[in-house]
Amino acid sequence: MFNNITETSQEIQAGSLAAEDLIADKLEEIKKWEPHVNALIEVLDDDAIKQAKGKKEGLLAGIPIAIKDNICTLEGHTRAASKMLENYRAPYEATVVRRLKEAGAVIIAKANCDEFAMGSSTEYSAYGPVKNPWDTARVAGGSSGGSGASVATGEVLAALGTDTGGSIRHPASLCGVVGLRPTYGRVSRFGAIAYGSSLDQIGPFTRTVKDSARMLQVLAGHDPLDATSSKEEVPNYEAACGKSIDGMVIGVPAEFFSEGVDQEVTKVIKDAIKNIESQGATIKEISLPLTDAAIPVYYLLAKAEASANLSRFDALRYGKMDLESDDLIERYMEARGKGFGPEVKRAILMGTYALSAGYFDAWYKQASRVRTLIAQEYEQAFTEVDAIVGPTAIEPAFKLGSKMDDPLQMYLADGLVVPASLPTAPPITVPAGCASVASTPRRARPKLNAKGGSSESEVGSSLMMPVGLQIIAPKFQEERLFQIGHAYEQAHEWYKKIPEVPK
Amino acid sequence: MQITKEEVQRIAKLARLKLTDEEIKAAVKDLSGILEHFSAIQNIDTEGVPTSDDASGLINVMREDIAEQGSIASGEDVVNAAPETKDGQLKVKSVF
Repeated sequence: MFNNITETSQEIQAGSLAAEDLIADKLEEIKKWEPHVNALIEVLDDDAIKQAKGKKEGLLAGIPIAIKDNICTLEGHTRAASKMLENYRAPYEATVVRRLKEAGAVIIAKANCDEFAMGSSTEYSAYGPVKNPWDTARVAGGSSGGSGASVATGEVLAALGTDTGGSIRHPASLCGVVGLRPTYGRVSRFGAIAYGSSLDQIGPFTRTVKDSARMLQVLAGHDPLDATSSKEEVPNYEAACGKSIDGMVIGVPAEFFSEGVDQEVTKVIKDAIKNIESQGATIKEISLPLTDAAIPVYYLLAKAEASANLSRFDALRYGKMDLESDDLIERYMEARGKGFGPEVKRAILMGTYALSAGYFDAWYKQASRVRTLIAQEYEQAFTEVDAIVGPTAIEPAFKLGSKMDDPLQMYLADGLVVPASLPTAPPITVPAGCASVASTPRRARPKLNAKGGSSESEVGSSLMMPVGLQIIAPKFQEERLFQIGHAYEQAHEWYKKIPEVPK
Repeated sequence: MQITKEEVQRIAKLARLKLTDEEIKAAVKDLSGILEHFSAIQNIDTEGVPTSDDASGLINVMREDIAEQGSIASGEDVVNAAPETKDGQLKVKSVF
């Protein structure tokens, strides 16, 4: 069974596997899995078969890849999983999609996600939630839930997602696959529907760390169409896989193991850290005191930027809507009221509030200043350590619906991925095994105000769900992520576990 | 950190969002709770700290002002993505 890029690519280039056969095989897999997971919002059957013909050369020749629905493709629709863009067909493709195609990849589907990339569980998709392939009563994480789930099932060999405050890493961790958020500016954002422009990054989901390195090799590099894209040289990422980590200094922040983090997750991660130590790395306890400030800072900035970015959706430029009013302003209000889902509306309200006269200094500007302080904390830490590690998610996959009545709880689920989104430091998540969800604390305690919710236990489940190890490197040092990630991954080979289609 | 119903209505109008009564009620509750939690950042001392407007570290990224016709998409394709067009232009309701 072909479930990683490195091995599959060898077969295709050697001629022992035809790309057309691989794609036909994957289209069958997709038919089997989709009724259970709803990971792929649109399957591009005919386009994929056409693309696959004769593919043999190229780093990703013949490799089937799913593209998150908020990234523009010429094939199919680009809906950002919203009703607002239900009929929208992008007139151009994103730079990342063009680069994948130039490397020989086959764009096989658009992946389901939270609407406009806002969410932590993919329950806010206007096209139904994505279910975790390891337990379809649970979420796949978000916002790139479809990307994570479809790589976990093996429906595709890689997927693109976007990560603004953890939207690649969180679902990757919950679905048991590798998810990379590149340094801001490493990968072009041209063609990605903007959520928070100072935070968004496109990144790959893959089965293994080496695959992730290859994907970044193809995606990275300066793009004149993205004014925030970096001219920093692109090194050989795959070469970092296999380098020894002996002598590296790895920082472990105390704040990443606070009481808001599930104890079973902590156990798994502490084991992972022991393994890294056994491979010759020095573990150093560090402190990142502003970790708990990250959630408020991130959400205030992201929602403020989102409120500006989403103001372009007016039912005049991008998608048809049937509206009752005749007056221009009334039509804007009606269209946006109908076309946007609850989380998007909440985001726009919060963002507009934070930016409005009288509140701008106290909220937006303050958050922006604290972001600088957080970035300084990381810079300081990286003078003492080569990389920072910890858990990716505060808990394994939670039950569908369990956080829908409390938006704040949904936000707090991102407690460990959001901090690394704020400086430009790139993080990766690598599967670290599974944790029991028998006694998952349902309510995370909001640390800053110490107001505390109640702690409820999950009844009766002895299920084990994936846990991810997050590794953070200084900016443009993604090679360290692959070096450490690969070394840890090869010691355990969690990637060999594949979920089975439910009966 | 109580947001009032009037505040929500004001912000919704600024953001051009038509909300039902239910949605306004929910927004009052949700936003108040969320902002209460977030208000703790007011206690962080940011005296003299610059804002972080500049995520990329780049300044004045420019190019020559030369039009490259159809290099990304044809003008027709871009206009035709809109729901209502006429003569290569977008149709909108009158503003007066």
